[in-house]
Amino acid sequence: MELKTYTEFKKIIKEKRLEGPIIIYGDENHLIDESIKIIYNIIKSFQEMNIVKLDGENITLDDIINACETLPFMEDKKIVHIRKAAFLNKAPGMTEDFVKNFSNYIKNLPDGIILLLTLQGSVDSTNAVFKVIKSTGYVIEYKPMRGEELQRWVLESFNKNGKVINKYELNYFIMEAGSSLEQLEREVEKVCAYASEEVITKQHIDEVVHKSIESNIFKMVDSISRKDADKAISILNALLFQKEEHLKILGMIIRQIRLMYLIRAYLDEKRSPSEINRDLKLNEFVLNNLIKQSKAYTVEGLKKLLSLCLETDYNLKNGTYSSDFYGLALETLIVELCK
Amino acid sequence: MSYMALYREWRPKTFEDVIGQDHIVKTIKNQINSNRIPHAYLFCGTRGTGKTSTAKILSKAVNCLSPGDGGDPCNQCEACREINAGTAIDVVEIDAASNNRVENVRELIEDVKYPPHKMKYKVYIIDEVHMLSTSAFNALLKTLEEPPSYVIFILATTDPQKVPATILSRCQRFDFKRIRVEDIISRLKRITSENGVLADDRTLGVVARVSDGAMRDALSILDQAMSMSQGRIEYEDVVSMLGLTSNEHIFSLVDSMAEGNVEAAVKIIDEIILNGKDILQFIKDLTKHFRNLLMVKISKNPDEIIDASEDNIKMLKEQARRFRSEEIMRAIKIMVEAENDARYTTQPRILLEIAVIKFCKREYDTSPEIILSRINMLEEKIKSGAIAVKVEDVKDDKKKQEVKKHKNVDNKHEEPAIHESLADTVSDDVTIDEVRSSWQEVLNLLKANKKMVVYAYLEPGDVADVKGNIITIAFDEKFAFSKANLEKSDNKQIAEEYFSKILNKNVKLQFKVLERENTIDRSIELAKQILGEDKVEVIE
Repeated sequence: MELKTYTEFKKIIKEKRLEGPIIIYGDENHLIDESIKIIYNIIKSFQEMNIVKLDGENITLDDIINACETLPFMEDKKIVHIRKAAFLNKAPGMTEDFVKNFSNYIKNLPDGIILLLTLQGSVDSTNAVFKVIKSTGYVIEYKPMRGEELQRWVLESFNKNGKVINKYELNYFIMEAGSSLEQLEREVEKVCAYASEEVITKQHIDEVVHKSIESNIFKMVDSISRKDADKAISILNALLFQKEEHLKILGMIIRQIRLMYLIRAYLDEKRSPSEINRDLKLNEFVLNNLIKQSKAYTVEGLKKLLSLCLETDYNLKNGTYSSDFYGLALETLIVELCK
Repeated sequence: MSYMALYREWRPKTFEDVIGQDHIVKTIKNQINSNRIPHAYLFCGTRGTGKTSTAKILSKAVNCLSPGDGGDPCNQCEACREINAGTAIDVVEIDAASNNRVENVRELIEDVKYPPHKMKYKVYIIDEVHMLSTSAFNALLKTLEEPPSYVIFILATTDPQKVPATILSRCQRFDFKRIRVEDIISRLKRITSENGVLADDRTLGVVARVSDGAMRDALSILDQAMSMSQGRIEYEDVVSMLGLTSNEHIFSLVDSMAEGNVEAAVKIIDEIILNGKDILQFIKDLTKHFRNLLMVKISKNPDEIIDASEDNIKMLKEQARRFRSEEIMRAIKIMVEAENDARYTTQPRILLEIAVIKFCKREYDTSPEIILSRINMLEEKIKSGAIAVKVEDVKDDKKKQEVKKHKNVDNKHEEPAIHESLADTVSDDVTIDEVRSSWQEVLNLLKANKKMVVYAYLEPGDVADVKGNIITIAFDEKFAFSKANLEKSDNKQIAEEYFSKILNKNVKLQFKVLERENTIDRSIELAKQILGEDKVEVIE
């Protein structure tokens, strides 16, 4: 059976239906780790004896059979966990025989065994083991969360900490804290520890959430679009103070202006925000702000800004500015962008 | 008691003492109070913002035997005293800069396994964590992910960019802000008053500003100043100690650049060289000076982005008023270019001089930005009303009439005001060289003032002859229409007006069309001249 989301997975655990082989893979490591923890918790006693961890990169069929054929100790279930099950993808060094024999073995897995295979990244869906488990057990892929799913997940973490957050603040929080679940969870804990009130406000987020460079650049470009050179330069100096690299900052300014340029062009074609986002795939909050910002310009105007950036980029790279003056180059660029 | 540096003596001992990091202190206190302490912290921020101090306080706070209400450590109990003295076995402080190898980390991991000896938590403070080698980071990873419940890791770094993302995502990250100037001042005030030293706000202000948001720097400077003073720290002493004396040369050079006074500027450069200053360094300083001028111009609160004394900033503000931002940008561009070139030359002085002259003599520059700034200057003049349209004195009345009469004989056009003002000039005679050299300037001025019609007609022409104050402009045959159009009174008047203005002499224009010579004949003639008559044969 194929499971799509974390919620579905938890439902199965709740109903205590989990047994037999299961594959968990995907790019969202945090969810994989969480799921592993949940599965481990099925074993209530003698975890050391009843959970066997194997390394999938260096494994023989005998290892697996040995682990599976020994009975659980003082428990009715036993977990055999093959980590880094690279043979699910086209891993070098793994013989076809292994995959074939292993897939045959899975078909007659003893009762009471949970055979857990985990892998970070993608699998080859034509792989024999994968095919067998898909029909006899469970297969779960965790793709990086986006949009509403992500929002729901973050909201739940806030609620777990006994806090309430509104939609606007929630979106703002996600924009500020980035999209890695681990990071988000840490930041949620931090904000919740900081806020003495029950409802999380924007001010709470501004005070403690670690501002990703993205969100700083975003604010900088926002100031530029309002022709507020003062603010933009003070953000720039804060970034340089944090030892961000000049070229990285410039690259990200260019990215923002480029997005504004694209959005402006789409708007001129009378496309709706949701249509635009089908191509650009941005956070809702980011998109709406970019639309607001890009309205301050024409397509031509944005083109000019881009060529100013290009000039600075060129000058930084060809040695016109000595390294003492990289900051100066960015400062003058911002002044010119704000004109 | 042996001497202890101020920054060690005044290292914060409670959360209350940590300055300018309210957001962090509040969060950590709440975590301690609600007993939800994460197992790994990451403290980021530049030097002197309180990372290590906070880490130490935190290690005391979690282990304190009789903590205060707010989660502050008592600093009295055995645990606190041991940690303060650095003898606690359960609080381990590691300098990752010198213990950056895998072996060191393996030792640490081995140690983590054992529960604390006496205290509630085992705290590992790893300072400068970004210095760990890649393999050391990887070794740490696993332990950091699932440490035993009695262990707290506190990683401190000035450079979080160098810490791998896998480590970052396992720690709760706190960013220490640079401490605000006011906060530093109030802390310095407390220290000076407790040490019985006098210092006014202005003096402490310089110290705070120069320390760039780092408390430790501020305290070191204060320490130095205190040891120099006899119970009273003087502003001047601090300024000279820090080498902040406003660079007279730079200010006066930029002043003369603002006036466009090349002579004075070059003289100052000469003086600088006599003083033995390195030119390359001076160009850099000059560039930074212009940068500061720009920042002063743009920012409402420049103190944060300029490291200089209050007086200096005041002077900068004063001087910035003499420039438009475009001018400053132009200066920066010229200086950066000069600095770049100066690196590869043995004659940096010449480059500096050229740069200064380039800035002063804008009329040599025809790039669009310069034209724009020149228009700006004109606009300003018009706004201020100080346009140099000379009004004749009564005494000159007679002379003026004479001139007028004379002119009326010359041509019957009405004279515009501008010509009258030029009537004073001693002689209106010009030479052909003068006219030729100002030709381009006239064209530029026409273009800048949007006299495009006249510009377009005049452009293909060439100065053919000058007699007295009459300039003859010749056109090729195919531009004969130019001549025809320029002879229309409006256009001619404009053209004459501009020539007069640039040459500063009252001139008249004549136009003629060059007759096309027989080009083939001329070529033959030329060929004969060069090769000799006998070598050329013309085949019809």
